Amino acid sequence: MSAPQLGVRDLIDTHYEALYRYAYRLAGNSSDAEDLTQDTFGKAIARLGQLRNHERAKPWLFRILRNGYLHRIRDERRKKLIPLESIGDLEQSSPETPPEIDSAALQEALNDLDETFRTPLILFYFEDFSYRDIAEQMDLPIGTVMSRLARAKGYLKNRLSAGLDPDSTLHSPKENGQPRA
Amino acid sequence: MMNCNLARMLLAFPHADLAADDRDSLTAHVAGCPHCASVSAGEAALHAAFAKAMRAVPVPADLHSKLLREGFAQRGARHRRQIYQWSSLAAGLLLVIGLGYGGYLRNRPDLDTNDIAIKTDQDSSGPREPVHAWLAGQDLPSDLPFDIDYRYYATHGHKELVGRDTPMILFHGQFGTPVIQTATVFIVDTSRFKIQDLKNAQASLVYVTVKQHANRPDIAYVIVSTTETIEPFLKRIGPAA
Repeated sequence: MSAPQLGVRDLIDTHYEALYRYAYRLAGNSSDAEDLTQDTFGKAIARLGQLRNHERAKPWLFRILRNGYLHRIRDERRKKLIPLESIGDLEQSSPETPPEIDSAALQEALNDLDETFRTPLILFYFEDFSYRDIAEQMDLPIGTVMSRLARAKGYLKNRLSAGLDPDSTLHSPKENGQPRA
Repeated sequence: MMNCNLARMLLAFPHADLAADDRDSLTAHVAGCPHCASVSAGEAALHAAFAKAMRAVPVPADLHSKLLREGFAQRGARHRRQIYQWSSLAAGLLLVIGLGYGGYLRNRPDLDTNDIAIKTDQDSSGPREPVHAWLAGQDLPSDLPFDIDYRYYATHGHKELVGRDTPMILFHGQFGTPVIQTATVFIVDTSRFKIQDLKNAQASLVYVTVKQHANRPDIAYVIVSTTETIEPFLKRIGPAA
């Protein structure tokens, strides 16, 4: 016997805030974030019958949103990104009392990250997403997710807590070594 | 044995699904190593700061109502589309059923009471056809010169008449009396008998009636009956006696 279908109101009420924040951090501005959120719910409502396990609604919605975002930026990728090697490997020294992180500054730093690093970072700090959840979202092995996260976190630390060279942006692995756009 | 390098590697991945042994070893190492304890505290604080900042995105006040409005509009449109599709399907089915029923109505046969009477009459007239076929097979007129009711039919065949096998048909009926009345119709012809002087006759219980065939002068019918005439055995309106 199949579970009763999740209602439109329940779906929106439960997930719209997290989805909007995710969209905002991905897209970098409220206008695109709103569009992405609306598109995501539009697609989800149209396919609501496909969602058999209601507990999987959140990762399902996040995945739809990311696919929509990737579709949008397909032609915009590879711009304003700087080489990965400008960022060191795992940063080990963390201040015990980190500075207060400004949300806008964080967004600027995220905007300069390639999506392949930005997405795991955003999902990781949306507490409910484990390494495994992120790996499923991105169709990646967990090891790759952990590696990207470690590098992205190192980048954020340098960018946000050290005066921050704005040129220290991460590329996707495929773009390693390419000249800056 | 956990060392500082491994401990700091693991501390870089908070919330990782560590095995219970690894988690215990890391906890023990951090408890006994001030430097790693400092790194651990720093990682935890940084994680909390990043998480707080990451979620510090103001959600537009009207977004919820906008999403609900669009969501319900979309669902309504979807329902209307489904209703339209089902309605179209139902209308199509109704059309097909209607056309079929219309064709059925058009092809209904006319009800003709005369046909019913004739058909019922034929159905209840006994073995008239087989008897007529049997007569025709002997080069005899297939029909008898009187409209006999075959519901009184008993048998047919050949029976000796004055030393000659002669075709005959036997009828019987009660006609409201306890006595069974019979009528044997012999079909005689000139090849067997001299028939030019045949005439009616009677005895105490039997009557002999002669009828000539209208078109075959070589054929005559000799009816031997227990009734005065063959009249009771003829067709009439109403049930057989």
